[in-house]
Amino acid sequence: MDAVLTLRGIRAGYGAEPVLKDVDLTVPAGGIVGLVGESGSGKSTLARVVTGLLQPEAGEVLLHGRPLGPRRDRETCRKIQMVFQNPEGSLNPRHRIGRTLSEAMLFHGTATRDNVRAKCRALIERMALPADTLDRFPKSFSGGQKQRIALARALSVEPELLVADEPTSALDVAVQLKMLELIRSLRAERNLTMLFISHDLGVIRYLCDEVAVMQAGRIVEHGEAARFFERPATAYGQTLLDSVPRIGL
Amino acid sequence: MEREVVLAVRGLNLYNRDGERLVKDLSFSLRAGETLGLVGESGSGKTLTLRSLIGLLPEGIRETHEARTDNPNCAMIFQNPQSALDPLCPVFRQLCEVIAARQGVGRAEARARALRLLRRLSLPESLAREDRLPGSLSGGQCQRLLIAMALSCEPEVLLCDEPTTALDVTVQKKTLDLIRALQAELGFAVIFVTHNLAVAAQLCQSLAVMRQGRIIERGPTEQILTSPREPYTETLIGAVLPVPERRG
Repeated sequence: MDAVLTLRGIRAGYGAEPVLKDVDLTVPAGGIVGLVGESGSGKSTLARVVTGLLQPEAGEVLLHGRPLGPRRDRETCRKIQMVFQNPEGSLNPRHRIGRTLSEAMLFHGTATRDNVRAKCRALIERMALPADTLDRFPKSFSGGQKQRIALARALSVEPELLVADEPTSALDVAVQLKMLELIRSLRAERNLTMLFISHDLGVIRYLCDEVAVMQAGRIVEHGEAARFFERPATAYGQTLLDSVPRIGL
Repeated sequence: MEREVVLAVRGLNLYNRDGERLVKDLSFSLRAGETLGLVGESGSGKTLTLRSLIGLLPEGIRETHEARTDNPNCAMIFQNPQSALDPLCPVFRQLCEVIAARQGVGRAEARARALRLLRRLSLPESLAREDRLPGSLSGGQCQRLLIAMALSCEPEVLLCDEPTTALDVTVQKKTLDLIRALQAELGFAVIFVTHNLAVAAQLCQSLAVMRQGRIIERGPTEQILTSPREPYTETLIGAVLPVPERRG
């Protein structure tokens, strides 16, 4: 299968000691790869490198086998989109949702002045958001709704890779489940390719085909999700699995 | 022999500025050493209830009640440990200040007691020697520091407001284990607020499910989990995404 994203020997960080030390990772077309690991293991730094928010000190990021340079053009930016952990911080509080969505689409050329409004409406309907969403400001929405708007914004420009950094960890369990169901149905519909970051193994198991485990800046294990949950290859993977709170008594 | 009731509330109502009732007619009681889980979605009134118990209601919230325990000896730990600490004051000094104020001891004695608490909660003793600010500690360490502060008040009831939601799974497990061990040793009661039933099931003997300001269902944890009466409780149980148990 064609790989949408390939990372080779990535080293990156913010100071003398690199956060990511020699990371290799492949995300196949149409696949959802779950990246797990504890806080500080480098998951979000990896997302920043993939989306071009942070330059790696060494190694390369390849999209469909072509290396991405230090300066990305508009088209490359469109192809890789991101949903962040905190929905409050990812929407401009002074812009109505309609403006947030249509600016992204017009900038990246996925809509024209004539059809942008109709496209926005179709999108919010698909996300099961209220009909008057486009005319409202972010503060009037709940956390779960805001996160669906952030997802709508990311998908509005038809990306080839979606990077989601803990998109449900700020949400209630019931709201989280609705969001995950939505991602699952969108995936079937749009053949989404995703890098899904979470420390919640229940979420990863629900959504992902593959699991990559990160520890102290390295990927220590990467394989099929079913196999990981059956028999993790590393002691650290087992520790993660053993730590999950279970409802069984 | 039944243990003494350390906290009891009857007919608690909380209103906002517009007179809207946010918590409706809430009653419960807690015996020494007992653990009650308060579960429900955001906005169901869980946190407000806790804040009212410890007298930390936000401005503009009005309380009425038929009866409640006078001045229960409560301490509280919060969802976001980093923001519950003064970011510009070394953490060990913050701990010493709480001990000095609550236990009425001098500086030297407060330092000695703080050091004992650091050891008890497996926090590095270097915190006492170096001036470390909250920002340089991990989330799990900050939460343990807050637990240390709470314990220094020698509470009869420990109020926990989603203390593990901001932590990742391995640290969450360590924190829950720690609360359980301390409770067994010191005998305080716990009210544990969470939206995650799996977390509540780890710790609590009984559960109260809250929705829109009311307790809609309560009972022993096992009974609630195996035969819930309310559809909403079923939804909460269904929202816990399972991970298979380890085999072999």
